[in-house]
Amino acid sequence: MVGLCPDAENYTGLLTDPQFLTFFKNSAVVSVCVVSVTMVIAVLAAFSLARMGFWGSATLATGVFLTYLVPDTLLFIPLFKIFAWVHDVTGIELINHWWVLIVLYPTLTVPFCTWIMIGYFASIPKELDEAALIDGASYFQVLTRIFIPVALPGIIAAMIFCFTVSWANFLYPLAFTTSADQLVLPVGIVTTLIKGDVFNWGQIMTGALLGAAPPLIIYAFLMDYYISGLTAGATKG
Amino acid sequence: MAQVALRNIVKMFDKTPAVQGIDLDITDREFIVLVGPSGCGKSTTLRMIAGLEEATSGEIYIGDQLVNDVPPKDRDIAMVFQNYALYPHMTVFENMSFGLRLKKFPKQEIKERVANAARILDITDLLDRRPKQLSGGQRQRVAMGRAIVRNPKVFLFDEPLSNLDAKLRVQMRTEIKKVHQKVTVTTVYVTHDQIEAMTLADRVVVMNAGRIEQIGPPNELYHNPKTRFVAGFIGSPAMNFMPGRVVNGGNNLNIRLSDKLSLPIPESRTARYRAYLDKEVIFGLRPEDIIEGRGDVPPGCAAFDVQLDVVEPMGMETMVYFIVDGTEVCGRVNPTAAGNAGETMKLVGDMNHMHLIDPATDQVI
Repeated sequence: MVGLCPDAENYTGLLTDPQFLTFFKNSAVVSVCVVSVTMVIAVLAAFSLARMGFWGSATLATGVFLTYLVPDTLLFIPLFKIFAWVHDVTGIELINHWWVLIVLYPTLTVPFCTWIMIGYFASIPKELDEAALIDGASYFQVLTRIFIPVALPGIIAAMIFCFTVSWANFLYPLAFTTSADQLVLPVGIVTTLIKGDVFNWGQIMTGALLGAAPPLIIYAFLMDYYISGLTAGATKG
Repeated sequence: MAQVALRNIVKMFDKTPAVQGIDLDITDREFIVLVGPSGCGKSTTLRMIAGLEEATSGEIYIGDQLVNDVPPKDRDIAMVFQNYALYPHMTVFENMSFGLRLKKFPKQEIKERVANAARILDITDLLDRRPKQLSGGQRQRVAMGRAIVRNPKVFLFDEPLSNLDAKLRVQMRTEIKKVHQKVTVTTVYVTHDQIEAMTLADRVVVMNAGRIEQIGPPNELYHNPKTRFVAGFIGSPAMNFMPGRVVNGGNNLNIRLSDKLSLPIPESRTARYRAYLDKEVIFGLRPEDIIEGRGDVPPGCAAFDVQLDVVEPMGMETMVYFIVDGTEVCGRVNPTAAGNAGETMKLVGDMNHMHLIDPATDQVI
């Protein structure tokens, strides 16, 4: 029955449920790790693709973007096969572990973040890194002391995107994790709060709201950065 | 402090040649200006000295060291860019000290060097500001300051004044000259503006289509250009070029510019031009050598009447344009003497400053 007065029962129920807290913790750890891994790879990749101009870098940059266009619904079956193969060869079980998502999500986030950052880095005047190179900086120092501070809005935009993707992804955790203690929030809510044909609507809705809260809070605080990141290069200066 | 030497430098971008074999010796503490139109290879040459572009072939020496394979940071050079290239997230102090901090100089020395450079450039008050809080001229000073604090062997300037408005450009030009007088370091300066080249340089290198046309002190290029390109490029407004024919004029030679207009060639030049008798040549005379005719015609000069086509008053002088056999010719006359467009005016050409150019080779005879 739907009550007429709002009450906090669903919140207290969920927030004191150790299972729900495990989902939340898994999601948080996965997302933070994915953001970190993605940023390290994407920033380094974007810098080298945007600036170092090695042979084939332009083709590679387009290639990076094209991989992003492959939908994850197409990828999870071959990934499953690869995991089985890895298990056969090395004995390492990759299926049904929450941490395997830290390896899987970057296949979605790295190409896109690299692509955004290539665009952002390309908008930084070339003279800036040339000046730094002449001033005595190595390529790595150009990256850490000039590019990252200057491109911070772009990097934060990419981080927000990356966090949202790994926080909200449904298909990969549904396919690759099954035990209740290995689930992340989106899948956990759906699989544990729907019991057969009984839909625990109150808690499902509460779980959805609590799940949506972290990205919302991050957006609210970093919105200014996000917008300046999205519109980078639109106008001069 | 160092000399710079370029030996047969060639630079190809894919298959397009940008620089086609340049030889240049720059002595210690010299102020060299590379000047030429867009795409003449002057910036590419500078960038090769900086190490930002690799030379396709040839050798570059800074001091006695062959630097072809030395990365920019180890060449001990400093460069000032057209768009300043200040690090936007750093204050002026941090911008100027960036190179020294990377090289781990002691803090005290960094402070002293920055303070000293800031004093030379008069930007001591700006050290805590960020680039976006500065005007164009101030940014340019900071960019120069960043170069000065490093105390490099060679200064490289890549069109540093092009982003400034006309008035500020003149001011900063003087500033750069002053700085070079205080901090005498070998300097290579690239510009497309021949006035900057003339005013700043010890020697000017005029480049065209990837090659050096002529190297020399500013006045030599102005008075004794070796090619038609240099003659036309140096000087503003540009030298007038008129097709003509060298003809016999009794005692001396004449240059015949049209059916109505023949001008006498001074006797001192007769021997030089004798070989071109009855040949087609290009006659060159600077606008400042075509002035109003008043009273007697001085020796070596030629008076002629023209119908004025356009008259441009400039204040201290007036430009008059007239047509000679289909070619527009410019003269610089005293404003009080200038007539109106359509009127006839008596002008005097100073033939002692004339040039003849062989149309086949474009070399000045």
